[in-house]
Amino acid sequence: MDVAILTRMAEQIELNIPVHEDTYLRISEHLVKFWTPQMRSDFYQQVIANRKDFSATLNKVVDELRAKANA
Amino acid sequence: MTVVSDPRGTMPMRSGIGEADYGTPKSDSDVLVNVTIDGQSHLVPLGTSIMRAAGEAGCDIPKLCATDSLQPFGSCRMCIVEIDGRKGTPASCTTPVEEGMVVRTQTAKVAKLRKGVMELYISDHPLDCLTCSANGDCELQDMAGVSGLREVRYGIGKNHLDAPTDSSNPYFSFDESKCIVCNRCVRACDEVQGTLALTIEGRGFNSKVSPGGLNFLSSECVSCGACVQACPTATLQEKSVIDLGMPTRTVETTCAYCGVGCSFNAELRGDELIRMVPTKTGGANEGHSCVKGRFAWGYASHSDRVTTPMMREKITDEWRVVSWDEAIQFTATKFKAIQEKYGDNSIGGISSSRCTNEEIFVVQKMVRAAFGNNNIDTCARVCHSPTGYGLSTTFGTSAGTQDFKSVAHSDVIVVIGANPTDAHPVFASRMKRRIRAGAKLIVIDPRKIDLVESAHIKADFHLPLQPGTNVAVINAIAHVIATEGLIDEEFVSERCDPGQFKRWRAFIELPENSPEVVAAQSGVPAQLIREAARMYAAGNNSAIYYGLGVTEHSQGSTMVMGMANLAMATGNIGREGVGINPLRGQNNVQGACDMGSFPHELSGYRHVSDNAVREQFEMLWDVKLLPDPGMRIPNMFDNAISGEFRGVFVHGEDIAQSDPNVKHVHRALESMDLVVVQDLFLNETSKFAHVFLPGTSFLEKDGTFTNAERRINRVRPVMAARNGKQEWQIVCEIAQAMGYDMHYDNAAQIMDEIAQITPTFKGVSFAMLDQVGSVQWPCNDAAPTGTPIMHIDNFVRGQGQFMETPFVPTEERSNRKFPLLLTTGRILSQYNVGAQTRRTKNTTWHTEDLLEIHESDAAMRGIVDGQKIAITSRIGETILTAHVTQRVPAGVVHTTFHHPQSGANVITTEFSDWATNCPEYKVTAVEIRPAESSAPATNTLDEVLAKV
Repeated sequence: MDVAILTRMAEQIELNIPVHEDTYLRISEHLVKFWTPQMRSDFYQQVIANRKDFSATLNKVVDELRAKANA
Repeated sequence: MTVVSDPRGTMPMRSGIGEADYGTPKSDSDVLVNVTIDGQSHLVPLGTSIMRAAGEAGCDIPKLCATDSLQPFGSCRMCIVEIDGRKGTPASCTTPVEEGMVVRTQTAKVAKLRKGVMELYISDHPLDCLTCSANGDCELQDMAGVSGLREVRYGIGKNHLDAPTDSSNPYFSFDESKCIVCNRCVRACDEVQGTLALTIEGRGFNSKVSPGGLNFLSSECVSCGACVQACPTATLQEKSVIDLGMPTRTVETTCAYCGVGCSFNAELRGDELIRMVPTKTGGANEGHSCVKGRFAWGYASHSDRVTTPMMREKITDEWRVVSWDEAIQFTATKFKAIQEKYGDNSIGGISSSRCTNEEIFVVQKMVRAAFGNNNIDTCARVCHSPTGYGLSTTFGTSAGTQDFKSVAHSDVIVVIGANPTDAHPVFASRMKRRIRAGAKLIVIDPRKIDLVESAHIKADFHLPLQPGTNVAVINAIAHVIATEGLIDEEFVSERCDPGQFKRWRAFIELPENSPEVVAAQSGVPAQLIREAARMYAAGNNSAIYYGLGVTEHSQGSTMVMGMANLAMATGNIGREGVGINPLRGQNNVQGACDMGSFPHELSGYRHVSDNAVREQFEMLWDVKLLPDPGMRIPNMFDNAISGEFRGVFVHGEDIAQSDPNVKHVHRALESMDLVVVQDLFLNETSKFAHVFLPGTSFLEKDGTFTNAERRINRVRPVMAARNGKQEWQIVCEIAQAMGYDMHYDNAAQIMDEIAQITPTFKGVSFAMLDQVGSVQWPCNDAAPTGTPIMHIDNFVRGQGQFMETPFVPTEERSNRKFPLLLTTGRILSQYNVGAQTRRTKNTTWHTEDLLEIHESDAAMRGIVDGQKIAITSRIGETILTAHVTQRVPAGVVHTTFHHPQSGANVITTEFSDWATNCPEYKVTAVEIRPAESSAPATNTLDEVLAKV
């Protein structure tokens, strides 16, 4: 799937979830609940390859999800 | 409950063969009084009319102007009785019973008077009973018999026998010569439908029923059929009855149009459907109907129906008629081949809210068990998926909180992003009844919909917000409630999560949510927002009803949560008259969602990652299920274009016309190796299909639909399936051909499996539904008779969850190039993409989709009413006819999407709800200009696409 679409989807999710200390957890939960594994994987790779293009929160989301996946 | 009955019951009736008519409505009183009728003692509720009490006791009193769907009128004088201790002969319909009352209904005195009255009626009535279309179903004829009338002593004098017949309406005629001016039609239009289109014109001998205009067609009549049903003679008569004769048997079933889910008696003679008559026992409609359900069923036998399977190798080839075996084997073999080449995840299915619960359940089962993935989605994706997200997050389940009857207890009704008089007309009639009885009304909608101001209805507040600013406005309303001390603190502390409430309160009280700030964003004056908020908060029972104008936005899910916050903050949840109520667009949107046709959920809204739930399904289905969500419809399209998704089974949904940005959808469909379409007609999607599997109309289906109030209604086969198979059978055969053993003997077995595996459906079975008529889920051990109102003591999720709802403006904004905002909707006579209604006489009212444009926007562009205009967005361009009006505000244009040649979705964008990907149909930045050609917009969708 086009990573530009995934990026836009993730950014929209981030925009709509209020900013709190647990925001990254709520975004992570959302991606796990509604995105296919392939979508998540494609998005992780995109973030990891271009970390500076993504917000701190989305970077944290990806780290959180990868940590969980590897646990 | 297949009812086969003799139309000649013990009493004359017109409300469906076999349905009793007690003359006046039932009393709701709990107080019983003792009354003696013709020597027999009876206990009846206080407020019951003598006529009804007698009828319920088996002592039928003659009547003409009375029918139990209408308030008593007392004009015909046929129902007179004698009451001990009272002078004269009062009308039994308008006289309520009293304790100790002694009534005599059959005395020589009243018999003589009734005979005299009947003689007067008949003296001005054509004596053509044997050739009359109502022969056998005429109350006047029956009353003449009951009264013992044998001769008419009056000679030929001044009469109405040559009065004209109005045949302008495509579905019924009005033969004035047969009218007895009983007023039932006028009262039905007032009391049942609430349109007030009919009146009695003239006085005395010259009085007559009038539709106000030149004729019925040009009047304000909405063709709901209430007047036809109420008429005791052949004056107002279905043309199908005039042409084909009286029906002889009935089958009770459920309408397949909107989410109201009206119950109907399909009345047939032999296997020929003569008419559809709404049933008084129908829980959703209680005897009422709209023009679609009552009359627009002809598509089921339309010559466009495809009844044999067809195939082709390439979409440029001609269709080839094949056997069921060949079509199913080809489908299965090709799907398997695609999976072998591209992986298990390369195929999927899309189910439809037009289909039964049983059909939808087997489609999702086929995908999960036979395809071996979770790539199943439903057309609810493009309408009410935000309802699922928003209500399950805040309340714990994806469903409206009330039954339809609840609105009768509302003191304040808020309608947001819905147009019930067009899209949910039977419920709108209930709502209008309550508003006319004094409930306050707040309409939040860019357009001046009919509820804002129509006959005897005027909204207390209309908030004409800019498309795309719903969340800002709902936040501002909540801000007023929070900052002006209007929160129901007791309810919140008892029922809701305190931590979440604290967070929400801090958020909602921020100045950015104040009406004064939001006024600039939404265009709604701050004072209007404040007054509407106070009205909602002050109501004893305040209810919110909403539609796709809420969900089809980039913040659809946020808005649903915003409304839920409002209801919790004011304690408007968990009793009659309140709640959050989605008006579902299609007949079985609720059921489609309930049945597990979202890619992340199994039936009963249980996530696929829940090991315990998945294990139950795995044990029952004897297959391993995946724990991760599958693709949503837009993911399928995107993955098709990138080459990863290669085959799809499309069950009863025309995605090539109804989904947004159809150019993108077409590219996706063209990219696939196998597109299988199951439908009634060769629709737009079938242009991209390799296999076409003919489907069944609702008149052929056996199953259930679940309406917007969670009511599970039976859908019974009225006639044999034209394609020779039920749709669930076809799906099972594909699954079997793919190697997964899926078999049922009948649809009842599918419901049994649904009940076995879905806690909220545990008590549901066909046998149970046949016994009780319908039931609202949850229906299980805890609620064996169903659940009309949810969240009474606790929320399904335990404590109510307030959610912060920051307003994030859509990226789709008007600008210099595209200065107008397009929003879309439906009209009364048509339904969705029009596949059904365009194949009926409903096209009489709507031959093409029009573009509503404010007169100032039109003048600025030199556009006049009726002119062809080009409408352009950043996605595409199409041609529509302008309708210059003040119904839309300046800066906003509106169109419907019922005709494929209009190509409304050629111009809608790829933007969608952040949480669910429900498309943002309701906001598209556009510009319009006079079309270069004055030719009508008869170009096909293909031509439009070629142009863009």
